[in-house]
Amino acid sequence: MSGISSQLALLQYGDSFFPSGSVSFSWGLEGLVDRGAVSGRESFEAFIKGQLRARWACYERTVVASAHSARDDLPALARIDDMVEITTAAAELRDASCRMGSAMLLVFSRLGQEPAAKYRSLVSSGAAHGHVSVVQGMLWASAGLPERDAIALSAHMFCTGFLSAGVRLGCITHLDAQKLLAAAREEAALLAASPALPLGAITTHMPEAEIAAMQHAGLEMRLFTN
Amino acid sequence: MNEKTRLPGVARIGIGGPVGSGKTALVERLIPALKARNIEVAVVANDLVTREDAERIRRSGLIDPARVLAVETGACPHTAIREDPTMNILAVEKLIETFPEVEVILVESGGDNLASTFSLELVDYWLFVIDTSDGDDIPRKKGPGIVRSDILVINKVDLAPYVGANVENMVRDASQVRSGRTVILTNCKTGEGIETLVDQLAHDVLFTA
Ligand SMILES: Nc1nc2c(ncn2[C@@H]2O[C@H](COP(=O)(O)OP(=O)(O)OP(=O)(O)O)[C@@H](O)[C@H]2O)c(=O)[nH]1
Ligand SMILES: [Mg+2]
Repeated sequence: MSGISSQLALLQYGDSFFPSGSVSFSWGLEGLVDRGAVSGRESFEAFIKGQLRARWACYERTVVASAHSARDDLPALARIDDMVEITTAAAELRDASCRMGSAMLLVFSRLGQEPAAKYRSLVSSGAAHGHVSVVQGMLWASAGLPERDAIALSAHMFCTGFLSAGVRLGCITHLDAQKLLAAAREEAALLAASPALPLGAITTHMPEAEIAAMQHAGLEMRLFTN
Repeated sequence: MNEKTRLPGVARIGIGGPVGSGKTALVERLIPALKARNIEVAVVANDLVTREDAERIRRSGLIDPARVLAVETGACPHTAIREDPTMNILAVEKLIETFPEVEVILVESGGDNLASTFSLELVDYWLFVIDTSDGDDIPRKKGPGIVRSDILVINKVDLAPYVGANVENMVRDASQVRSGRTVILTNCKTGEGIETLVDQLAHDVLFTA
């Protein structure tokens, strides 16, 4: 793929029109909004930049890149998956990550992508977890996106997942979301300019969101899975 | 057992319609009615803001609670059955994998509006449930749910006299906008109309001939 075709592919996979099951997830945001920890554009900006720094830059980014270079090497992918499993503290987040990973594997395998179908059987047999960031890296590599695009796509989906949930939770407006997305883009670019951590050193620390995700099941009103 | 031959595979039946029209009540009527015909059932319930419907069906005692899965739709009930039905498809697949004997899976969508429709990647066949208390001009207002569903169910016929709804007009208008395709009247409080509905389902999606 080259030129306009690869650009269009990037737009296809990054578009919220592309089915991925993502509307069901808020990744802890619903709980934070519920208890007033995030409300309005300013606190949302702090939240999303914090997520980019403490999660995306030192965790997701490495996982996506590693899975991207593993491509269709299934045992290598399963090892990256194990790494995600043991480094994600909250069971709720582990579970949600696997559910969204399964959703993406299902979509890509129904679209006829062979590595997706293969990894999907590995996941259903219990031999791999199918965490979303692993699945994204491998699927986007198989779809022909270069690593740079996969990283950009990962940052974009990471942000739009929170922002679109924020709009639906009534926490920010549709215009706030676009302003925040632009701000988040600058932040992500800055973070991506420094070298990524090696897979063995990935780390994530966002206690507040994790606790919110853990307590999510107890909320009286819930729009999202997490 | 019905002497006709059962179609291979699982029949996935969608149940859509506006908030409160009686979708869950219909599911609670369909489960025993299908069971009475020796048909194995499972359910996926989409809720707008809680897992309430799934919990209600699980607690009903009508079905093994493990056969009822909930899908949260992030305030987008129509997205979850049309533009991005992935989470629902996963739930359906999980039920098929866990309960290979299941023959019918009912997928109840979150309450939505008259424009909601089901993806045919998710279901094979779908019902749209409206009720007499929504106003008897509803069928005339068309909307893809009313026009394109395989069966239009007009529920709460018992309430029609109290809300001044003319059921005959509703059926006439509905049949007209649906070019004569099936319209069935039900009262989920008493079970009226349920056997007619199950006969139609049996004919259309469960059995050959
Ligand atoms: N009188 C009467 N009440 C009914 C009938 N069917 C359902 N109801 C009542 O209508 C209300 C809504 O029924 P549900 O089955 O929860 O409706 P629903 O479409 O599943 O609602 P949502 O899932 O919230 O969109 C309940 O109070 C039911 O008891 C009926 O045929 N007659
Ligand atoms: Mg309901």
